[in-house]
Amino acid sequence: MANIAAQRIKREFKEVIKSEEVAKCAIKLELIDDNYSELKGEIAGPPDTPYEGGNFVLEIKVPETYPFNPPKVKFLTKIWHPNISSVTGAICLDILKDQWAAAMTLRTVLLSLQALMAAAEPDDPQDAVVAKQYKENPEMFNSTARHWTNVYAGGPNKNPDFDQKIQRLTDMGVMSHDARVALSTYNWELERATEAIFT
Amino acid sequence: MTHQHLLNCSNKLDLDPRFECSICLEYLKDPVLTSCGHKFCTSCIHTWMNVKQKNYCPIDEIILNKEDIFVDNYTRREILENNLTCPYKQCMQQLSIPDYETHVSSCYLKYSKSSAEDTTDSVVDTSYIKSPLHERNRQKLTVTVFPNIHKMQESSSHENFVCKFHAVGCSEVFKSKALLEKHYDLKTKFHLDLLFNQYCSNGILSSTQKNDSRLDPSRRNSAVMSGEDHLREVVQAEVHGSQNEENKSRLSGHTNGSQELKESLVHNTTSNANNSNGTAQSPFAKNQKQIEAYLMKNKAEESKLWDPSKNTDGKDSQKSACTSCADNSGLLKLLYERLVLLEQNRLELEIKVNKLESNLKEVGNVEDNISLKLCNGVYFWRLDNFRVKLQEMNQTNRYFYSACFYSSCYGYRFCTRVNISREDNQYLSLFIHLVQGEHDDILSWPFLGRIKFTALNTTPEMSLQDEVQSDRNFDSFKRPVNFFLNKKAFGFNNFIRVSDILDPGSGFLMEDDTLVIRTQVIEQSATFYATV
Repeated sequence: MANIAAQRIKREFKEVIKSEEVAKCAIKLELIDDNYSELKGEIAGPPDTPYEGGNFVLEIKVPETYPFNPPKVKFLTKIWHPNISSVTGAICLDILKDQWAAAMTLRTVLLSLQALMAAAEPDDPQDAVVAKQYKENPEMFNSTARHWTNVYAGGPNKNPDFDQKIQRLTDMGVMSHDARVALSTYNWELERATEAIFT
Repeated sequence: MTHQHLLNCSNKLDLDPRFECSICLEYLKDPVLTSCGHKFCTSCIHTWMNVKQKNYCPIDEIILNKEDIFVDNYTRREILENNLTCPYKQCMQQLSIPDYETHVSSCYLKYSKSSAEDTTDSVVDTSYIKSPLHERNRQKLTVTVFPNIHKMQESSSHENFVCKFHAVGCSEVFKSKALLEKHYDLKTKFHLDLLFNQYCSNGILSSTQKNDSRLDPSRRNSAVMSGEDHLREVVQAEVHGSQNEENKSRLSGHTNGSQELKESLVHNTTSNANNSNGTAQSPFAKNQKQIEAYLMKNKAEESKLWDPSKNTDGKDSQKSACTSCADNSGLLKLLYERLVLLEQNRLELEIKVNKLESNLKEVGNVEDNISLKLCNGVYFWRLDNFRVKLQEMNQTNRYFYSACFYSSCYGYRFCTRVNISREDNQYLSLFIHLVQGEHDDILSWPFLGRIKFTALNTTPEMSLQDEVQSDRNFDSFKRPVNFFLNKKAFGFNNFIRVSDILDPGSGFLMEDDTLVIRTQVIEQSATFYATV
């Protein structure tokens, strides 16, 4: 990796470790390999959102041209969010694309992602299904996102109704994740989800 | 990899944010200022603006053109003027920000035992995390996990060398004598500072130091000790001497010590003068004289002050205590001067060694010359790598010249030349040139005699030999006056066929692709002037 990128990541790492967000457990950063090109980030779900109480893991890949080009970031933890793909974890955020600026750091990226979780942009979606639900049925969106947070990110809010529906489908031999995706997509209507899976 | 490890890896300093480039996060190198008031390294902002043609400030995204970026020499000066101290204890080096990281990563104190221990202790200390200035590598990290084992190993397998300035506050301990010596060399100023501080505080001493204070006098005078070591010993004795608290004995001890020091100074300077073998340069000698004069003066003054008859009442002794203080600083001054002197001496010796080395080289050359002079007119020219040379001759028409040899001890000087024949490029030409020699003025001109060329063959009968007689009318045999060598040569245009040499069966090329040409110059008798 280019020296400047590695040098900068070293310094940024220090910055993150010393930051007050780490002290508050809001963000976390870990190295994956020795040459500072791959890192693991963690952000806490922001309070007063369906993601509250969850812990979301991110994959961060630092390109050799960093900081002149943005780091490549995606969610490893499954998340129900209009700007994040529920399938791949890809993120739609301008600063990770054309609005990147060299003065931004991993810390600001993590904080921006946290802000994105708190304030979704349904008009610039990554996941059209989620965005549609967000706009048309915010109540349903919130409980779905909360359920996903509970299952994948260790959030505290269980939803017995949803769990029961998933159980029904898994009893039929469907993988629980597939069942959850189908049910979430069809606003937890068991019939339609079943139909979608088996046709 | 843990967070702790990464922090340990870092020897980066915590920069003042004013001096930090927000692109590379390091100190501003060749700082520039944008019209929107942000500072960057020149290379960083230009790289940024060239990537995908982004023409906005990375901080506030205000549109920037090349003319909105100004060189910020003010910040550059500020950065250079901002000095930091090396984080290793006792190093005390003042460093500018650009030098800081290089120094810290290579500071020799990094590996010395005491600072290693300092860092070991501070691993658990959270204050360390706030200022992670010490560079540590993984090895050291593992060491920190078992600090006791590490220490045990160290004490069992190594003899420790304690710095002799231990008594005045240098706590360095070394694993080898070499490291200790290096420490002395590098830390002279530091040690002198310690000594000075000790003097200024005027001998507040611990009970342990009292006991081992006086050194064996015979050892102090030992002639085996090197000049610098000797000086140190004496200085140390001096320190201990002044630490004795009993009033009278302290004072007398002090006089003894300083007296001795001065003697040793005089002794050393004179011995230096002897060593320098008469080649000592005048400023050096002058300096020595000055110091000696200074010493003499001091001695005279001292004897006045320390006259025992006057030293009876309390008032007087108080006064002498004060003067001893003043004398001490004079002494330190002397030490500094002595240091400069030794350094100069060292440099002189270094120059001398260099000179001797070059002389030695010259002698080697002379030896070569002698063999060329005493060859008695027979010269074997080894053309090694002949095929390579041949190729060069073919391609660039290059001439190859041999070394110059003499026809006899006081004779004519010649050199031989080969090249591809200009008449027929299948042939190699062989010529002989007269070269300006040392004895041309006593020789008779033109050269008269015979010249024998032989291309040696592995089978002696097959060697190719040709002989020529010099001719009085040829320019080639006249004395070379205007040029180093007579431009007119004499010899054979078509001496030997190239194909004959290259033919592997011919035997002209020796094993290692070398062609040997023997040239013999036979002077006619009575070549010298009649007076000889």
